[in-house]
Amino acid sequence: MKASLKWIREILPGLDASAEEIEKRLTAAGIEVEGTEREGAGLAGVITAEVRTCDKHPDADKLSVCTVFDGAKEHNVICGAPNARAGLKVAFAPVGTTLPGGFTLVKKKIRGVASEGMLCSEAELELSENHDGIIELDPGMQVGLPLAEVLGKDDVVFELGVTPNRPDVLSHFGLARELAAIFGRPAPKAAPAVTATGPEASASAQVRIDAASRCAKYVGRVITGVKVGPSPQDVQARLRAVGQRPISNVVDATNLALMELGHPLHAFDLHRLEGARIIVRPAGAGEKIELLDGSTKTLTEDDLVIADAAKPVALAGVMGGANSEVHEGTVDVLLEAAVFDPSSVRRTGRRHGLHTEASHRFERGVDAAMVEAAIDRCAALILEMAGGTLHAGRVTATGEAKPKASAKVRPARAAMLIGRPVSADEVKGTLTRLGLTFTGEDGDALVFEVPSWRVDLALEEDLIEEVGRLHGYDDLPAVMPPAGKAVWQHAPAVDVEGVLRDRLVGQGFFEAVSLAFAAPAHLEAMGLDPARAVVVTNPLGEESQLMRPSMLPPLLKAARLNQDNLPSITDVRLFELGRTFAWTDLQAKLPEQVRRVGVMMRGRRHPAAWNAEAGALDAYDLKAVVESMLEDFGAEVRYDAAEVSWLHPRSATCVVLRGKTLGFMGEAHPSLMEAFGLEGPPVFLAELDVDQLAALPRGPRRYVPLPKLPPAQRDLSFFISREVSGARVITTIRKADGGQFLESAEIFDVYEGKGVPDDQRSIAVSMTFRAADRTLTDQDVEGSLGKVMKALEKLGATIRKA
Amino acid sequence: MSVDVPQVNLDAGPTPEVLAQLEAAFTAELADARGRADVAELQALKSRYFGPKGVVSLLLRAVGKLPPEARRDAGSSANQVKKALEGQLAEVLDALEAKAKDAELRRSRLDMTLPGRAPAPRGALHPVNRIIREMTDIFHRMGFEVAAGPEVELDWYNFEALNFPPDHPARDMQDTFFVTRPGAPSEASIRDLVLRTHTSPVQIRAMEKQGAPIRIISPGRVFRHDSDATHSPMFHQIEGLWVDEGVSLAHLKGVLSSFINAMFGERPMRLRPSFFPFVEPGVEVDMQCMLCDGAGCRLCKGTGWMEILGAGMVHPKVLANCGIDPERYTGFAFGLGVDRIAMLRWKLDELGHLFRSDVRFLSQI
Repeated sequence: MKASLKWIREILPGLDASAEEIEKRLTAAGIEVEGTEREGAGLAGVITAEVRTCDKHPDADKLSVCTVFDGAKEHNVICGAPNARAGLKVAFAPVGTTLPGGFTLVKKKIRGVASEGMLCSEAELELSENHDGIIELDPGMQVGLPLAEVLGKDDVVFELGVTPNRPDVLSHFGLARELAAIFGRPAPKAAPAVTATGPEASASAQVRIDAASRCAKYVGRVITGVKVGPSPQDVQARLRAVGQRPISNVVDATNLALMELGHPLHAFDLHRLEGARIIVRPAGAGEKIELLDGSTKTLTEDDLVIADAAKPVALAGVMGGANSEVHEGTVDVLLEAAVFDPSSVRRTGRRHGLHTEASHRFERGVDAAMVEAAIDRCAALILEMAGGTLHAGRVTATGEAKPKASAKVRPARAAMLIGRPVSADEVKGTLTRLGLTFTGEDGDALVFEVPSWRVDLALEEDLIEEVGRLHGYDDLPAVMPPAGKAVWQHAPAVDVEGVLRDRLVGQGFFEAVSLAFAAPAHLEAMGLDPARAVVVTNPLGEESQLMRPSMLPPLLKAARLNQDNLPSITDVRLFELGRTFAWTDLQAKLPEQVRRVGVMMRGRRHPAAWNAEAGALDAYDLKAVVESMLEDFGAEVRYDAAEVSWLHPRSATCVVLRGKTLGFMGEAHPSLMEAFGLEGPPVFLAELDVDQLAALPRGPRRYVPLPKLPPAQRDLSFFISREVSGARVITTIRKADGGQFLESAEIFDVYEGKGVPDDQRSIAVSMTFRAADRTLTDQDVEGSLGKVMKALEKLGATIRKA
Repeated sequence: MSVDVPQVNLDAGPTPEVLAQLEAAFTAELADARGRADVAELQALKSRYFGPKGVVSLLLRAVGKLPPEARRDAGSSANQVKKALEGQLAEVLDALEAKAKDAELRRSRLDMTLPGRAPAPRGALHPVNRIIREMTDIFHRMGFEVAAGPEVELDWYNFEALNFPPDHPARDMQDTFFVTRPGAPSEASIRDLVLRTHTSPVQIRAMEKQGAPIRIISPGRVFRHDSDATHSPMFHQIEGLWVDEGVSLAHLKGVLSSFINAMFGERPMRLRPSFFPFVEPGVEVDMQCMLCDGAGCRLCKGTGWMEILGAGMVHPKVLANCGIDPERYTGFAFGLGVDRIAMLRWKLDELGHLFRSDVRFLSQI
């Protein structure tokens, strides 16, 4: 909210602190000053002057050449305004002045005639939107004075960040009251009562509440015979300074009273109220209302309306209706001030996408005791600006009022919670300054009555905060708490992520962090089930319609981005750790949110070098990355050939851990490449379930004593059907030995092609045999080897060399 | 040029004169050969003197022909001379060999100004996760455990349990993404699933599970319905929670002051009253501006302070919602945005860089 310091000082004349001091103290008390505008800053250099002569420009029909006297000398000024004339007192910006728009005036020739400055319009000085001609100052105005001073533009306007718990400071009066407490001054006084000269208001208007729980009070006042027109300039300027648009004197009066006292007000044209009556009631389902902003809303039974005998005339607490609006021809006015239920107003505002000065305050909670003062103040302002006769008395209806609140606080508890000594006197002193009334003691607690405007104070902690806040926390010691009893161990969940991150970074991957969304097109490209997708109800665009079902779409998008950015190099290695989202169980409270790691790599195996061939990455490079990730967890997995719609059939692999799918890996399917606009080197992808890895039993791996006896080494090469996998070969060999002497068996060569029978390949295996208790004899080794060969032959192998 | 082996009267045996003569001749020859650094020549010299038919060998053999009483002295002095001369020769030969080896090694000198050949390209952690790691380490040293929770969250955990009642304007402080519940009526009236707007729901889940005392931090992704140059719909927070008997706002100040000093270097901090529904009292934590060290600059809008954390004493309703007795236990909670710290550290001009995975950007970190 914007607040004018000048206005505050009018309400609290005793406030003599400087703007800087006030700004500092407000911020320190929790009402953050987010910005300060010094009014008139844009008027620097602009002075009052007199037009002495004004003649037509010799060479341009619409321009005049004026001589302008600034009190010291005359200047030649070209002016295009139709109202420029001799004798006029004007706002003159001499050469060198920088106008609010940032434009600095220089001496220049306009159609052959030199101009030494500018006569300004209100719009050019950003005083208003009025661009109809230059400013016409009071004919008696002295020349040569700074315009800012003449116009009284020396106010300071604070931009305040008022937190939602403090509706009581959403007005100048409220701020003055808060500042009085901060600076220890007497609280400001309300405006004097207004005098009514007309007949009883109740004779010309009636008010009724049909929704008692949602409207605690509705008060009306009648003013007849007003003359609607523009407000005086100073009123308009004041409203503009605090961010309000002047409309007409009657409407401006409601806004002035709102900004002054914080209570929303509304003025109806009394003659446009059917039956001259007001009924506060729930809307009928489907009932329609056209609002002041021109929009038409279809209402629900949960909306509260102000209605006349026939129709809704306002959306309660949010906005008035167009059908009862005060207009140029309005003569008689019914003023409204009311107290509406905060959550009712908020629901209506949110449902219809409306947020107004009124709803902003109602939904936070207005001061129920302010209603009468606010409506009287507004009436007084209308009488002052628009004339008319105020009818006697207020027409009032009441609903369910909130009881007076009281709260207790134990000074010892305050001291404990804040962490510094707090005495009963300090508590009493501070809270009394803030308008609370000490009503007695209850055991070791002090009991206070909470003033009507502090809707945020109810609990002991609320009062403790007030004590802490007003004193400030600058002298609060910084104390390390005692270690206490809390458990202290490294969370394994995060550890797993750290291990994976370090492993991948070490292999040349950059870690990506992507927005965790996906587009429906991504789902389609991966062939994933849209029925399982987690849909964002209010996305920011197509790309955020879903929560990502997989880590891969953002990585593929990144591959595309980098392909476009680095057209000559497509070496990219990226990984990301995060959650993926799916409704695996449609009845579940929350969608499944599995942590996964996604890996994407393409391009060369090594960075380009002058002394080495940088071979292209292939699926086995990806496999090594996956293996390296699993190694740290001692995860024994199977790599099964798989049908995966988004992976190339030649390498699509399912990684299986303990019978469960841990993830997939392989080369991206050409159709997936195409869907993401990827061209050039193949893209290798892997995605693994991190939660499964985290769930693996962990602990230090068991040490295997180092061998003391020498091993025996044997190589074996053979032809075997391509259908037999490498993994099967190794398993067969291990099984054949039965854990007797074989220590390790590794495939060291695979060849197919020339010299190898069709549909077969040549595999060479290197085996190490060893016994823990004795040196193996040739016989031992040959025995094992024989069993191995036999088993391989049974698998269809033709042994070539043993 | 070669010097002849001196003509020695072998019959006289190794008389001192003969030995002196021999020594002089050898030394001269050795010096001469050494000058030419010719290994072959030195080998020839060796064989001429010490070989089977070398003069020294002959001389030694002649000792046997001397009268027995003279043999011992003559033999000993001859052997001494032999040893000395052999030593001289070995020294020269060793030096030459070493030099030759060294020359051989130098011949394969590489041009080490050429670029290296990397086994793998350089990778790097994401800037945000680097900061999270640093912060986690600092808090871990203060005894905080790490806790995590879901990102699609129930309204209860994200708002209501944290004392944001339904229809409360405090919810406006956090523009919210909602998630559609499958099978829910198309009317957006059911809004019980949200993308968490802060990591605070983790606190609720942890307190529900663990009760008090508790000391956790929860780093993670959060979502707000907002996107422009300084706002991303997804960003990162670290939140902390410490609940125990007798925990005060002064303790919050102690922990956060330690954190700020560890993370950003020794610098003043201050607490400023503020409001968050889940704390009471609530504060914002400012630290001395990182850019100007308090002198006042554009970053801190001339105040010398920059707001870095939101914090406060856990609201009694929040504790009660988690089954913790707010009369017995008190605690503090704090939260900070990680992305902004990353922006400040690497002087980023745009938040979007962090989430685009542009290798040209990531490789600079």
